[in-house]
Amino acid sequence: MAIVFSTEDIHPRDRLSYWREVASNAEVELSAQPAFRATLRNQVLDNVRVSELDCDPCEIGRSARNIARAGCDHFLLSIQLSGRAIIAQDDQCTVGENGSIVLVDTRRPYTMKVQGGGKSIAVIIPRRALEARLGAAAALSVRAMDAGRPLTGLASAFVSMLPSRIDAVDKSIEPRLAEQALDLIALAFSIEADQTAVLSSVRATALIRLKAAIEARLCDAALKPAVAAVAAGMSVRYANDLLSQEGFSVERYILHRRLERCRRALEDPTQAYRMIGEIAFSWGFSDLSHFGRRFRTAYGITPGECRRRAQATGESMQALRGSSTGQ
Amino acid sequence: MAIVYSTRGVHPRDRLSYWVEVASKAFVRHSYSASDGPAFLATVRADRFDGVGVASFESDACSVVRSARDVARSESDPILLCLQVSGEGRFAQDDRQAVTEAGSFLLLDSRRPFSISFPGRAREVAFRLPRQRLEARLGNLAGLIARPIAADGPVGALASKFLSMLPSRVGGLDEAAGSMVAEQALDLMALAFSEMDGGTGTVLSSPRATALYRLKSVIEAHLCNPDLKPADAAAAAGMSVRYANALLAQENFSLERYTLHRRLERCRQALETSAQAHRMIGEIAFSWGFSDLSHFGRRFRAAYGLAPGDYRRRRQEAMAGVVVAVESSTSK
Repeated sequence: MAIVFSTEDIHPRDRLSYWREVASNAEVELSAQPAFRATLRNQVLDNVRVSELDCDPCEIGRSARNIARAGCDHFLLSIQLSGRAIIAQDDQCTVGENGSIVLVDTRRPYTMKVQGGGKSIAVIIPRRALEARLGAAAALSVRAMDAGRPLTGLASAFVSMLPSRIDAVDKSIEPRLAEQALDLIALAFSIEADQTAVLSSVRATALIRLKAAIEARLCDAALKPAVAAVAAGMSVRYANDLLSQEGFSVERYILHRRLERCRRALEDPTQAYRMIGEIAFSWGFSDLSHFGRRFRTAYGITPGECRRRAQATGESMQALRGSSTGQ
Repeated sequence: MAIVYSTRGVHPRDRLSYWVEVASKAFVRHSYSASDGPAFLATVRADRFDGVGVASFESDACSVVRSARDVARSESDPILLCLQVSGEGRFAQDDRQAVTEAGSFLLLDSRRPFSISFPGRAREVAFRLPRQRLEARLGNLAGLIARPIAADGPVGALASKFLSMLPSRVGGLDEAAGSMVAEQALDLMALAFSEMDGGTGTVLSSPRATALYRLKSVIEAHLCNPDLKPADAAAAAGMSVRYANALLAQENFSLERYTLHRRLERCRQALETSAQAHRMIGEIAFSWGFSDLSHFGRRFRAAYGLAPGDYRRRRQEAMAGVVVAVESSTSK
C-alpha cells in the first residue's frame, strides 16, 4: 500500500510544521518557505522503498544527529524527473536533472537543494543489496549519471515506472521486480559510471565481462570454463584468478549460478508445474543425480524439499518481508 | 550497429520484393502481401545483442505469412516476441487468434506457420529470442504462444516500456553490457508471461504435457543421428523409457515409431522443397538418420502411399510456377 503525505489539505500556516514532522520520520531535516507545498508517496517493493516526491523549492539535509539516531544503513538513489536538485556530500557536489541518477550514501551527512520545485523519485536500497552487485559503492556516491547514456537511461526509465505499478504487482513477483531494478541500476553504474571513480577498474570490468559471458551461457550444457573465458576475451588462468577474489573458480562459479537459477525456479510458485529434472536440464545440468547432490551440498536440502518448503512458507515469508522493510 | 532499410529510395515496382528480402532477414523467413502494392512504404531498423535480434518495423497495411515451407527451409528456430508500438496487429498461430494494440505484445513460435496482418499503418518491435534461453525461464512455451500480454497489467506495462526502449539503446553497448541487458530483457519477459492469468501458471500445461514436449524436443534435436536409441532420448529428456512410451501412447506412437514418423516427415519436407531438388534421395534419407535405404523406401511408401522418387516428381509438377519465398539468412 502506498502511504501518501500531502500539504494539500493543510492550512498554509501549518504546512511547514506538518512537513517537518514527515521529514523527521524520514530522519532528515527540512527548510522551506512557510506556504511550502509538497506531496510524498511512499511504497515498498520487497527490500527497497520507493518514494515519489513533488515539492516546492526547499532544502533537505541529513545531519550527523539524524544519522546517529537512524538504525539502518542504506543508499539513497535519487532520480530528478523535473526541476533541479543540487546534492552535496563531503566535498563532492553534483546536479540531478532530466532523469539523471544520483546515488547518496546515507551514512554520511548530505544536503539536497531542490531548485524551482520539481518531481523526483527516491529509492532506498539496503547497503548490502547494492554492494553485493557493485562492490564498494561509496566511490560512486554523489556523481550524477546522465540519463542520455543508454544503460542509465534504461535504469532511470525503469525505476521511474515503478511507483505507479507497485500497487498492482502480485506479491509473489515483488522480489523479482526489485531484483531487476537493482540489477539494472548496478549495470548502469558498473558500465557507465566515471571509470576513474571505480577502484581497480580494469579488473572490475574484466570480472563483469566474465560474469556476463557465463550468465548468458548458463543454459548451454556444453559451457566449459575455457568457453566462458574465451567468450570474455581472457585466458582461463586469468578468469580463475578474477573469480578467486570471490572464492570461486570458473567451474565452481558456473555451478553456483546454475544452482541459484534452479533454486529460484523451484521457489517460484508460477513454475510449480515444471518437473525438477526439466528445470535442471534447462539450466545446463545434464545429469540429474549430480544436480541433486550438488544442490544438497549447496543448500542442505534436496531440490524437492526446497520446492515444498518454498510452497509451505511462501505466505509467511511474504509477511515477514513486508514487516522488515516497513521497519 | 543498427542497419536501416527503407523502401523509400526503391522504385515502386520493386518495393514489395525488396521489402520481403530485408524483412525476412530482420525477422524470420516469410512472404508478404500489401494492399497498396507499389506505393508500399516501410522501414526496418535491425540490431543484435548477445544472440537476441531486435528489429523495429514501420509499415503501411500489409500481411505477413510464414508458411510450412518457410519453416522447413529455415535453419534457426527462434521464439519471436512481437511488441506493438502503434497501430494494430492481428496474429494467428495454431488455433489461436489475437489482436495487439499499442503497448501489448505476444510470442510466436517460428517452428510452426503463422500469419500476421496490419490493417493500417503500424509500428512494431520484433525480438528474435533463442528458444532455449526463454524455455529455461518459462518451461513449456506452447501455452503462451499467441496470447497477448496487455499493456495495462503491472508487469506487462513495465516489460512493454522496457522492451520498447531497447532498439534505440542496444546499438552502442559492448558485448558484456549487451549480454546483461539481454538477460534482463529475458527475465522481464518471463516475469510478464508468468504473471499471465494471475500468476498461477494455469495457462501452462500439466507436467505430462511438459514432459511430452520436452521428449519431443529431444527427439527432434537428435533426428539426424542414426544412433539415436529410445533409451538415449528418454534419458536426455530426464525420464524412463517406460514413461516416455506412455506419454507418446496418447498420440498412438511408441518412442521408436515416433522417431521414425519424424524422420519420414523431415524427408518428405525435403523432397517437397524445390531448393533441395539437387539432393539425392539417399543423401536426404541418410541426413535424417536413416541408415538403410531400402528400409527407408518401404517405410516411406507405407506412410505416404508413394515411393520417395515418385513423391518428389508429383510435388514438383504440382508446385511448378509457384513463387518461391526469399532466402533469408536467419542466423547471424
